[in-house]
Amino acid sequence: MAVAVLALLGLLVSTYLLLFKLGVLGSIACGGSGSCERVANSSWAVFLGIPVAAYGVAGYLVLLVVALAGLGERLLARPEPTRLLAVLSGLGVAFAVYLTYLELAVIHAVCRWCVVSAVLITAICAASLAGLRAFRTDRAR
Amino acid sequence: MAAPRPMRIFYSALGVILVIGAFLIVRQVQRPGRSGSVTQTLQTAPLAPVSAGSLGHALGSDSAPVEIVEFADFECGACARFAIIQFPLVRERLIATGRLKWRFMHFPLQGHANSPAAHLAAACAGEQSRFWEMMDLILTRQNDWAFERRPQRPLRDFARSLGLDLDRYDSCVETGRAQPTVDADYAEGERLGVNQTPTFIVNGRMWPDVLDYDGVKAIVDSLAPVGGAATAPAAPARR
Repeated sequence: MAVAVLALLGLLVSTYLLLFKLGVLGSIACGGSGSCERVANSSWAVFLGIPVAAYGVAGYLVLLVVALAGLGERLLARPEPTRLLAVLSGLGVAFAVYLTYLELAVIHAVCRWCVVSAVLITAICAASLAGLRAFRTDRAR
Repeated sequence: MAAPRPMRIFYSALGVILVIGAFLIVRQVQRPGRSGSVTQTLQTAPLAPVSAGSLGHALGSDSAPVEIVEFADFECGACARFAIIQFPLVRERLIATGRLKWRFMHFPLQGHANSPAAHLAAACAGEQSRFWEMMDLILTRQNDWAFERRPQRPLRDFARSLGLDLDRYDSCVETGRAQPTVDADYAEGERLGVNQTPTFIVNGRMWPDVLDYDGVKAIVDSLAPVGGAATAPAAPARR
């Protein structure tokens, strides 16, 4: 359940960033520092020709669908959805680490919404790993 | 079969989060901006008809319905912030789309010791049609030259990194060949009553405030709505 809530929040945050990147939103709430604009307008805000925020939208959407599917009656007792969540969110954490490195070492600006997203994906990964552990403990009994 | 009660509460909570989040995003997308106040502000703003001719450095289509003239000083922090944070969006979304023409005017402020050298360097880059790239470097790397005893050296490094013809650049700087460009812009600013930077003139009227992207967009949306006729208010004759 926690993963679904976190994934939904992540989906909203990345949608917000994507709408800004696409020009639908004129400005971004960033405390007037300009850091978010600087990050979002840098050349690193596009990865393989696609805005980084779009990867976030797609990633969180997949996580949300998997998390909700895992709560269904048929899959609730099975570990596969949680395993998939752990793998996907692990990839997400690796991507977030790379992006945070770019912000700190290359762009020299930190976008607070990117930080929120990094925290959310890390929390999703931690919750998924905790879920997996719970499955193993149950099986061991 | 209906979901058990705890799950119903959970799905309801997810729904509430989704609705609140979507509402906040949609509200920001539909934010009325400052269109209403733009017309009002311009109607009461003092006239500042910028002279026709080849003053300043222009960017954008001559047929753009809105023209903003910016008087800026290269040592001014607010000018640098505008150029670094706001101007890329203005350029990409409003100038490149033909809705806005931008004109930069040199206005090196008294007391900014290194500013004249930077303005001359940019004007010399302009001789080689690279003014905007040079301006970007000068403002994004303001700290590299603004406090130097000899700013000419880092400024020349910028010219080199842009691949300018250095012989031509050097002779321009040494002879001050492009200085009249800077001086003419400055004189125009004085004539119009510019006394701070950045100062913006919108369709021939002095804008009373510092602009950001949202402000520029609100002005353009108000004076030239997409799909609608341009309604530039009381613009004095200009080229």
